[in-house]
Amino acid sequence: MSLKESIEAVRNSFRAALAAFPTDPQQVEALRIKYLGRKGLVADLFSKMATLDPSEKPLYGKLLNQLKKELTTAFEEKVKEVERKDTKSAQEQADYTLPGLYYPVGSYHPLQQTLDTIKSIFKSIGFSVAYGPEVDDDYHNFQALNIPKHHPARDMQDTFFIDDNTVLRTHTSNVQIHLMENQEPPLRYIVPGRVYRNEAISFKSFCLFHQVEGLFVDKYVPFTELKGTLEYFIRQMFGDDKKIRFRPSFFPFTEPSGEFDIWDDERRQWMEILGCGMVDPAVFKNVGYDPEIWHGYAFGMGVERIAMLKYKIQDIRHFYQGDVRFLEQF
Amino acid sequence: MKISINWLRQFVNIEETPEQLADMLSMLGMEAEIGLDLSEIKDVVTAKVLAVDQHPNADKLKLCLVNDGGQDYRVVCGAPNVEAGQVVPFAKVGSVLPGKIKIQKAKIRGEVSFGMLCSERELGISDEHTGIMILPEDTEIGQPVAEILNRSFGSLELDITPNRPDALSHLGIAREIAVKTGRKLKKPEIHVRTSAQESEPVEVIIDDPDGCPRYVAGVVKNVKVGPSPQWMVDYLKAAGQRSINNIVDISNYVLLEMGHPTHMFDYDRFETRQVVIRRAEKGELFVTLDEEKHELNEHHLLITDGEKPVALAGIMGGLNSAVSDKTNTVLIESAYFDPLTIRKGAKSLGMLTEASRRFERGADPEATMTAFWRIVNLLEEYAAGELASKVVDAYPKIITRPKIELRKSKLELVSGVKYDDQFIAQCLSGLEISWQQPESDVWECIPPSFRPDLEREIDLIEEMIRLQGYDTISPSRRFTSSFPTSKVDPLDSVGPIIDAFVGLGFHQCYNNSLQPKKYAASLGKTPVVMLNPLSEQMSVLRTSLLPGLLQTVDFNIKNGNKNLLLFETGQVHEQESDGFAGIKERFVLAGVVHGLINEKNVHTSQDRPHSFYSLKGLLDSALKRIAKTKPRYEDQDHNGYNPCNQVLINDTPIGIMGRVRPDYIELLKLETGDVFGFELDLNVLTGIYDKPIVYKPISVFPKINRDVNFILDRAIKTAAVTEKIYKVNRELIKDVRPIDIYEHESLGRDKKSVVFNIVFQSDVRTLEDKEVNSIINEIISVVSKHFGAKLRA
Repeated sequence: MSLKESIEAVRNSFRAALAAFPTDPQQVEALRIKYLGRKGLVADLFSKMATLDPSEKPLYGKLLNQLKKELTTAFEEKVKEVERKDTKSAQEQADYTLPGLYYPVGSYHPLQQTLDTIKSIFKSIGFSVAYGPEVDDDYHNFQALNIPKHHPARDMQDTFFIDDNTVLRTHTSNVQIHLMENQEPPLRYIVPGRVYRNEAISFKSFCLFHQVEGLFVDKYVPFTELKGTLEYFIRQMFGDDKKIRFRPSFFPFTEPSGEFDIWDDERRQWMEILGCGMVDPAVFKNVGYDPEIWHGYAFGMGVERIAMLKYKIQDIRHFYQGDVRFLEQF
Repeated sequence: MKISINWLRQFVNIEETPEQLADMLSMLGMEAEIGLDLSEIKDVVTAKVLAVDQHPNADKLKLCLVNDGGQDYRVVCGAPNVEAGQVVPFAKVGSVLPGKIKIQKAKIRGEVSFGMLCSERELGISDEHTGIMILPEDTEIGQPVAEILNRSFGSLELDITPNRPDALSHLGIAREIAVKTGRKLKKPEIHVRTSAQESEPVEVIIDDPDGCPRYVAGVVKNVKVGPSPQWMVDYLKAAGQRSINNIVDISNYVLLEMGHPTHMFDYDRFETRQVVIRRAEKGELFVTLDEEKHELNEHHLLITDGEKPVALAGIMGGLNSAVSDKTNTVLIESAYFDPLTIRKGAKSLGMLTEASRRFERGADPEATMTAFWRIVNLLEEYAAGELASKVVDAYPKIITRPKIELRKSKLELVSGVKYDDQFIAQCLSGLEISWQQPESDVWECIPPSFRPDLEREIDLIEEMIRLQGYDTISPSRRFTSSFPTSKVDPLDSVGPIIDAFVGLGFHQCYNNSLQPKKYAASLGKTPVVMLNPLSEQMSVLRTSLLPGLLQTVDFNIKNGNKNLLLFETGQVHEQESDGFAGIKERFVLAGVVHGLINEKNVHTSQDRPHSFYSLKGLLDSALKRIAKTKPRYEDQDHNGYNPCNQVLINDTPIGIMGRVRPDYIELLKLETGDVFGFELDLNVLTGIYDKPIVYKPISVFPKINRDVNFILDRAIKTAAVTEKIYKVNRELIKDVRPIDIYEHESLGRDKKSVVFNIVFQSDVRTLEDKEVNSIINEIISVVSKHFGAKLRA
């Protein structure tokens, strides 16, 4: 049998073996060794090259290499094909309906989410953000804001005192004064923060809550601008379909003052969400701004109130209890 | 404040429905809601009582036959006041009363009742429940009762801001409606007696003109104490006031009508014929007519009869001079008291009365006279009284109103709206502000005595914008950035820091800042203490976020959530030294982990509990995200944590972490079991986050991994060894990590074997084995020398 015939014989016998490809991995390996192993049939053919005439070597070398490549490729493909079949049947047997491995899921507090939304709306229309102290002196929390000692307006905000002259701030408006004391106009800020009220705790009031204060001072900041800006905010926050109203109110540090209400369909009543007004000239005088030159508006809103409306939360105490059954809903 | 709509009609025409009226007043700055909602009363009609018979089986019950204009009904009624011929509210079977009470056919003591005759309480009008409500005899029968009652008892609940004492009256509210609608305001008619018999002497002596600038007094005798006329009873009822007797009612009526508080003394109980107004002495005792005994001080102003105090001025009269059924002669007081004096006095006693509310906001000094005459007129008409003294008007300190210049140009600058002169004139006149216009831009105004809030130009500007209506002002939006801002939000980076923890599965909490002192003072810190706390449980400001989080863990465990990852950001306070300046505020982030990382499940056969190391890993992950570098941990002693590590980033301490000490949890009286916690300084952390990131080129050269196995004394900390290994070649050693620890007696007593995996890589070339081997040799020599380590074969 010539070498050429031997090559053909190996090829044919391999094809036959491939057609009856074994399923047992050991037999598969045995088949590989029989043909493609170091001492297999192909290697055996290569070893016979040595006996050939040198002029025949290139041709047979080429043929043998072709054979080896062909067999290797065919074998590997067959193995893959069988594996694919195996995987498929394994898949049919395994229970992939089992739950996945556990990884915890965190949550952002609803007040954080609401505050973030408020901040981003105002940042997008040119407001900067400032912060200030939670414990402040009576002057910054009250007097500089045109609320003298013994003024009936003090009844609007029940106050925690540290001493006669030091309070837990009742609103973030104290930061208005700090800002204006420390810089020249114009300025435009919002001020988020925690504030405190000495009120009995119930489903609708807590001893503390969170406010976002706003202040815009420039030469021409009319009342129409106040209305337009805050309407824009409310529309962004609550959407265009909410019924809102803007009515006069009273705050010692703004004049004229107003409040925005939003109609609550569930409670069937107006809910106050935002107090505002034109900065009172007395406040400008207290910080050394000339009220003949500078005008401005200020506003304040309760983050809790907005979150309660947004998420339909009926009891304010949920915010501070840290109940995971509550937190994981947000 | 409750306002009767029917009463308002005395002073101004009202064409609006209660809803429309409430809207109008809200838009004028007096937030209003419908006070009495009779819409709940359905199918209750007016009916005539045809006959009343005794119930055969019950002494106190009656069998009534009533007619609703169509049919006759038999009704069992227990009211003592039911009589044939009356017109009464009749709730038929199927009708609904307030509180969603549905009337059904019922058998009462053997007799069937087809409905119910209603009392005022059952209709939700008042607390009156001793008998059924009797309607006027001429009331049409078969009418829905809601409609009829609305006519008499329709009311609004108003929220009056403290700057508007004038609006605490029906007349004041009517004035607002009149100005807004352009309708005419009809004030009550006052008849001033020019001559009277002066049989009763009276003298007023004001010791403290600052506290009492004006005091009007007069005596009315021969009053007949008795019931008030029905119209007055109904008005008062609709405004939320119970009728007492004609004398007391008249005083209340005038208060609610025109807003001026007056007081009536039983003059026969005066020791002298003098009224002396003086300051109280410290410790002086006084019993007010509600039978409460008060200890007074120099803040209080007293009315005395020349001998003894008879009233706490502007707050409440005294029991010793109160009008009773036997009163014959009354002294009428109509005064103006200093707002600050009344406020301080009332506040220090914790009292708030209808009178003090008005005086402390600023009463009308001119109304003293009109209110006096109004009282006299009503006493004459409804209590048969006769004015029997001269009218004393002691007015030692004249109160004047300021002259205010209103510039139209400023009005338009502040409002952003154009105004025409006619509108301004109409508003000013409607508000009873006297004015002239010397120049086209300038309006010289003198506000009326009942508007103490109008003192400056801006106050008048507000009135113009208010009366124009906030709803009609067209909004404008410019949104231009007219000035630069360097950093829009100094705490911008708190957001991504929170993201890092939420991303790892932490729930964000907002806990109470107010804590028991026991909590806040527990770690050797001095909390900021409140003078007037809500309770002992909330008497100081928190010094750390940890106690609150532990409380939250405790709460959640008790509510069935046992595996917890919680964190919070917030302010904590400490009283570092005395006074306001000694209060230090810090912005911190803290968190706790508790329970299991993983419960055993189909994939894992064992529970994996949280531990010191699981927290450390979570912090590694979060802080790598925040600081872009791994944190370092150093042992620390701490009375809240054990074990405890200080956490450092690039050698800057940023906080602590560890296992919360069980004795600390016990001290807080909590039952949480093992909790692992951390506290980080957010100001430092945001600074680290904000550092600019500079990209380092990625090395394209291969890494070489080697394991080195040392036998070490058990007491030696792996972190110290790791640190030492790094130092051998900071350039080429990229990572050092203990990957296996083994302890066995074969190693020797108190020894352990630790395998360190070391990663080598150069940024500029391919490392050769030779080079790595020489570094390894150096590592072996350094670690051996330093820690007495041996290489394990």
